[in-house]
Amino acid sequence: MDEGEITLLLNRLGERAQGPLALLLPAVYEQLKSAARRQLARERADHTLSTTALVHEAYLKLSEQDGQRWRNRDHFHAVAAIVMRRVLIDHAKGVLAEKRGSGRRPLALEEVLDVSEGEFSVQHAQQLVELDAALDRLRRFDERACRVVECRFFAGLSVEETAAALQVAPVTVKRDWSLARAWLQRELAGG
Amino acid sequence: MTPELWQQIRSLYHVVVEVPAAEREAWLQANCADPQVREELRSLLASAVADATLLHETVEPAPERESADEMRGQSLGEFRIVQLIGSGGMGSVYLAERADGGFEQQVAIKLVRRGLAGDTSSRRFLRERQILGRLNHRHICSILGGGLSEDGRPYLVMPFLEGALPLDEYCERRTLDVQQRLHMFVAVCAAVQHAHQNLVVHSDLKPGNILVLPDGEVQLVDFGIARLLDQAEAGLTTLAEGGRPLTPQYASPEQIEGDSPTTLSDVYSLGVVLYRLLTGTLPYTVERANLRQLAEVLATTDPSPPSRHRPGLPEDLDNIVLKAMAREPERRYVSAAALAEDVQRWLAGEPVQARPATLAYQLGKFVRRHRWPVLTAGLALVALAALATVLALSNARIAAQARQLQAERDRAEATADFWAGLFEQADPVRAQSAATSTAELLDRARAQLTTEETLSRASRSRLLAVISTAYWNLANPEGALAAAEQAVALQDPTDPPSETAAVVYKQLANIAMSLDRLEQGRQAAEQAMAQIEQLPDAPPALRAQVLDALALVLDEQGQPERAAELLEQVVAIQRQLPLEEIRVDMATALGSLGYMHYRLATQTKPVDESRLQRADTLVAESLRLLREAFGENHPQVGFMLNASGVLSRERGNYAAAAAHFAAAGQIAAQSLPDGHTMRVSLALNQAEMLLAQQDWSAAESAYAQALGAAEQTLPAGHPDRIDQQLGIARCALGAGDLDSARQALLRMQAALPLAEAELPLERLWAQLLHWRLVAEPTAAAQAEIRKAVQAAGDPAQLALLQQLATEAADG
Repeated sequence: MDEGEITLLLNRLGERAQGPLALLLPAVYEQLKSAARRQLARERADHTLSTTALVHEAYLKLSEQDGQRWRNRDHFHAVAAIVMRRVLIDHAKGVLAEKRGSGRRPLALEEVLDVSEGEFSVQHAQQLVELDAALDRLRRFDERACRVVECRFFAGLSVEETAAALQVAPVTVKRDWSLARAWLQRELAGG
Repeated sequence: MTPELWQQIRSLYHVVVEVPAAEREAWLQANCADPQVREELRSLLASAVADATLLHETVEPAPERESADEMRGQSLGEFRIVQLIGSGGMGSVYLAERADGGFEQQVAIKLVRRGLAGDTSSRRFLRERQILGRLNHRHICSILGGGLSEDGRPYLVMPFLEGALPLDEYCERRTLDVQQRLHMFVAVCAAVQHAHQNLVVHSDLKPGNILVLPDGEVQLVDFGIARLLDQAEAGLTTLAEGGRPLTPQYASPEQIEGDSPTTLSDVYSLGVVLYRLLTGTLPYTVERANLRQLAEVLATTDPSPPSRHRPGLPEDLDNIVLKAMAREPERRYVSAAALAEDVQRWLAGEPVQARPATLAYQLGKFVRRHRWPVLTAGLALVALAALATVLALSNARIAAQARQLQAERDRAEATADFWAGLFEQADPVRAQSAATSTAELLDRARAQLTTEETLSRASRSRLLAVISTAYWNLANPEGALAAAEQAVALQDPTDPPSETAAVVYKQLANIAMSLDRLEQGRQAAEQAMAQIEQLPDAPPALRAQVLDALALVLDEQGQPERAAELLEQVVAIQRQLPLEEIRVDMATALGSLGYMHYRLATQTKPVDESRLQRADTLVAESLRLLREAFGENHPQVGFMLNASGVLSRERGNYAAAAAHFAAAGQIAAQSLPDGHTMRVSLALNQAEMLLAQQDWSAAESAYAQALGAAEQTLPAGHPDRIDQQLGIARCALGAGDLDSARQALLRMQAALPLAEAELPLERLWAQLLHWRLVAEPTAAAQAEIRKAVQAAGDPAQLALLQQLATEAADG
């Protein structure tokens, strides 16, 4: 994670990114990345990846290292969602680079979202990268919906946790999530 | 796409998505002028599969239904329709009989409604037929056949369940009692479990789909929207996903949110069914059509415990229902079988597995703290047995509130995945093995945490503290202590101070103190305090808990004044916090503080009236909080009423004391088993008060009642039993029955050598001899008593005796 990326993330976080948070972003990234890698590499039959578990674990680890600064869990969630997206997309790109060229079949959005529970295959990796691109497009006209998808999908946060992290009402999260899913579903089906 | 255009689409989308699917096009035409926006909305609506359609299924207008007359007499295969039995969204059910008249057979035929044939509904019918073909269970309605009607509509033939009623209606009409209802419910669970074992999820369990024949036989019907769980038929299941009817009042939160139903969502629905059977009402009242509102309600509120609607319903049943209905699937019973087992445990009078997940150790502390007079020595002996009972009766509402505590919440979240993993391994549907007991799960969790490498040391420590509490809930104090010790062992003294460390040390302190391991408790409480002192920003609720633990230690060390000061601090902190989150903590602290003031007040002569007054105020407040938290009839309310009674008696207000003791006794009789020490203690308190009022016969019957209970559970040398013998003797003396008095005193004399060393034996001997002299004023008897004492060979007793004899002679 280089300087430019950190600046980019901080910009997205806006005023919440002041102070100690900025210093800790690289730590969050490293923490999530190594945890994700460890989980995926672990000799388990199904290579499952529980993003929720990763985020919680990262929170515990970081708050242990640096108890005072991470006391606000909502704050942490807001950061972790964005970082987790980066971690997963990086991982997906890695998978694709390794296994370039295998065939692809279109997956429904629900299946892509199921990456948190299912197999992390080349297809998933490909779909993830497409989802990432679609999400960037969504962000251009609906930043909040994009954040909601990051929290719900990439960080595995619940509606309430997402609402707290983004400081909006739960009903807003549900609406954004519902509309964004429909929009993304269409984008992925068409793309 | 511009943000402005998107904003327009967004606001229209959320409205149109609420419009029934069939009317959306018209709505768009009427409300959306911009063709580009309209097209975008159409396309988005088409992509919004599950959640949007789900929201509409139940509000669609009733479809065209054929009239009963129209169908009467028509033939379907070898059957002829006799009459309409009922109709629903999918179609109608008819009574039919064999058309060939070969032999009399009445059947029920389910026919798809007109206009639905050929689409998903037909597939659903087909699937129901396949699913039922898989299932063969006495409580699942079998299928006799099926086919296509002349106009191409599929139908299913099933046995005609003559006189069958929906489960809830059956129970009401027959006015079944709770036990009978539970037996019916167990049969339902067995049927659901059978379906699950065959990889079928019913997904629409409700009383209307659980029919009961006049002979009481349960029949599970309507697998119309059941799902198959195995992969081979996944395609089929997905096909039928389009419009998924569901009964919102019985659907799990995840189904309402649009997730696929699972075996655990069936467990949830079973919980709602049980709720209905026990209370006659539903946990949530929401307008039927408004799924969105229901989703909000489910996500934000916990159902009120069934006992709220049916006062007097045992807390165990509250806990069972609320566990089945837990919002998070992983907190529910792992299977329908596990739910049924717990119900059967309750029916058999055994402790149930459903317990509130947190704060139970505080109940332990509570029991320990509220050793109000008479309860004093008794509790130590039977503390564990008493705890098991009291804990089994504790209330889920409190656990729900406690989960809101920040510290608790952090802990719960960190552990959710760990627990989920454990339950996954134990899921009987996946593992094809019997349900694992909670105790086994805990053992496994503890073993796993000693080797688990992926979790940090601090996380493991924290998890072990949680597990320690869970053991305590299961009345397994050794497990609780071992887990707490393990949690502390994972703390490194060179680590910087942390909330985790404070929580872990506090846990060990509470457990150790409750087990009378005073030195260990003291060290742990001081460690917890040392952590908290270095954490100025620690949550106030945690600080209060640590101070509270330390106060208990100080009290045990004979520093009640200092302990009372600490508890005053605890209460002061708690008054700053939202009451919802600390109600039980605060009630406990107030009660303990009241007890300390009471003791300090009665240590002085004359009694310190102002302290007594303070104790009275504190106990009253504690009582109020406990009633709010647990309802009127919880044993903890009983404890506190007992305390109120003691205070009233101390201040000479016998009428008030009598009322308090009677109320406490009533609660104990309802909620605690015969022979429970609490019941013994209450009877004793009441008897002592009646004795003070010189109501000899009432006191004697209270003593007799206490004695009857105590003989079952307490050893002969138990102080309560010695107190009783003495009390009965005094009642007899008061009533002038010297014979009975002498017998009671002789029984007491026989018991004294067996008594525990910590009792004030000298005082008891003195009292015994004093009353014996009163009871047997003859010279011969006095000589005999003197002889007995000389045989005991204790000069101190002899001296005492002589003194008493002189007093008696003077009197």
